Amino acid sequence: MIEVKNLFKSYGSTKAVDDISFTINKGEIVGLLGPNGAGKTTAMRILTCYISPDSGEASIGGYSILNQSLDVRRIIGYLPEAAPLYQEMNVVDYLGFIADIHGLGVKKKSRIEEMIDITALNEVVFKDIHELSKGYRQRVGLATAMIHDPEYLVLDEPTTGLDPNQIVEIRNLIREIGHDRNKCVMLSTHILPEVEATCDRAIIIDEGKIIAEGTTTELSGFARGSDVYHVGVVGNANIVESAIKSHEKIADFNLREDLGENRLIYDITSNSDQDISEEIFDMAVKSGFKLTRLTRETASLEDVFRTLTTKEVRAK
Amino acid sequence: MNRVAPVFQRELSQYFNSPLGFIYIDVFLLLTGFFFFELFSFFLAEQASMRNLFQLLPWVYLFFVPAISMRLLAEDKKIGTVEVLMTLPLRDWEVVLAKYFASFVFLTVALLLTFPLILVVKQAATPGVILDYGPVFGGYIAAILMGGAFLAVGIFFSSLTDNQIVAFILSIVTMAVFLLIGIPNIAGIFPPGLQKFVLNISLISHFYSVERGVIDSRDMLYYLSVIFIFLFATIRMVESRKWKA
Repeated sequence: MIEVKNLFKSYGSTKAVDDISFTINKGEIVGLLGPNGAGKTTAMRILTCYISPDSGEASIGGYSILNQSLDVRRIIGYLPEAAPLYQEMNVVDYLGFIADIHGLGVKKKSRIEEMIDITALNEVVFKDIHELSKGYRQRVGLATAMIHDPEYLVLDEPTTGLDPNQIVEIRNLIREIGHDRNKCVMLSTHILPEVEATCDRAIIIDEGKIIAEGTTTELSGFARGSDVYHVGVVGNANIVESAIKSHEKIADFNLREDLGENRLIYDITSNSDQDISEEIFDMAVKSGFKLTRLTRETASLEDVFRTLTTKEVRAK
Repeated sequence: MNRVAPVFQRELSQYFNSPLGFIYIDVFLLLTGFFFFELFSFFLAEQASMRNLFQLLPWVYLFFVPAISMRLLAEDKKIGTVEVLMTLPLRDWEVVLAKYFASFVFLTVALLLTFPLILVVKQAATPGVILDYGPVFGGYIAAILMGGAFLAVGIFFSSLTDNQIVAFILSIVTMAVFLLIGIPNIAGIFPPGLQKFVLNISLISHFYSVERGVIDSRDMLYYLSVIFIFLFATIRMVESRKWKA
């Protein structure tokens, strides 16, 4: 179990991690979701004992990150952001190097073979790492993070720089490790679909604070609640706007563009989880203006953040 | 200890698995050999001794040591592998010492490869004259100790930056100061009260006394203190990442 209690870490006047607390259980895959610079990497570096928090405490598998850092580092596997590796070593030597530091001894050979197999590195085993593509490097990084069969995996943006096929492979791999092997996986990402595809639960952080926490279904509820519709109309602005205002499923709107000759484009935010395109169409017919455009834009991560930060909601 | 061994091995194999390590050794041997024979006019001086080698060694070290120490920590910072190393079950000081000793072994190997010069000196000696091995032995001991001290300074500057060139230049400048203040004429610039102190902290004055074949515990202590102080500072530097605000 990973337990984090009131962690603080600031760089100068920026609070990189601002009072973060959470718990991750065995067999659970948890995504740390946030925009770049939200404090994900800092939080992970604290948990992996690379840096120390200003205050607060965390423990992994019962070991304190402050006083038992060596024990913590023995039981975790960590993939730092961008998977840094020794460029001039070849893949199998590098895996062997990390395996030796973990003191795998007689298990070394079989573990390396297993890792090469799981992460599909067979074709590049004897290649130097600097010759490898980004995707392969990321996989080598994953292989080294898992080589000692750690109970806890901390992965900082494990799928960045991969092509879509590789992303799917890595996500499947992470799911397999987390669920089938009953490990505790914590990964960070700034891609919302990644959380949906891989994680059981997500912790959304922004500016160092946890702004929401919940299962992926709960969180995607927030995302859908803030769908935006781009609506182009031809009609009198007063009529159109009063119709929009009085519609019960529309939370907010603003005029994006006035093209002249009564041609207007609005951004309409719905307050419903459902698709309200049909209702918008019906509203136009009823109020006697014409639709020239109607697109539903599923909320982007930024929209989710905006909603979450303004609403101050917490999903439990 | 077993867990650190791979770090030491990897670091050492860095020198020997790449052409760069051999180029370093080649340049080192070429320089020492060239100075030994040409600069000090070995064949003209009609004196068969190894002193020439040891006289100039500090100045060869001045460029050679920073070249091998500059990457020790700066490179890991640059490519980010420091984050991998420091999140493995290794203590910070273990990593620093493993890297330091790897470079130390490499430097010592390069130094010991100058041994053919002993044979040359022996050949050149007037028949019947026996080469005094005391100073030769003392010279090598002094050179190894001084190399260790230089490397400690070098690894410290490598811990300050992620830029190897910066580490190289800072090391050279610092070492040059420590060497130059040991030259009596330069030490003479300082006020009389300071002169003894300045000479004492110079890397070179202790070197020449050991190299003469006099192994004095004070000189040993001097080099070991320099090594200790700079390695200690390096370890603190590496640890400081944890608290950097």
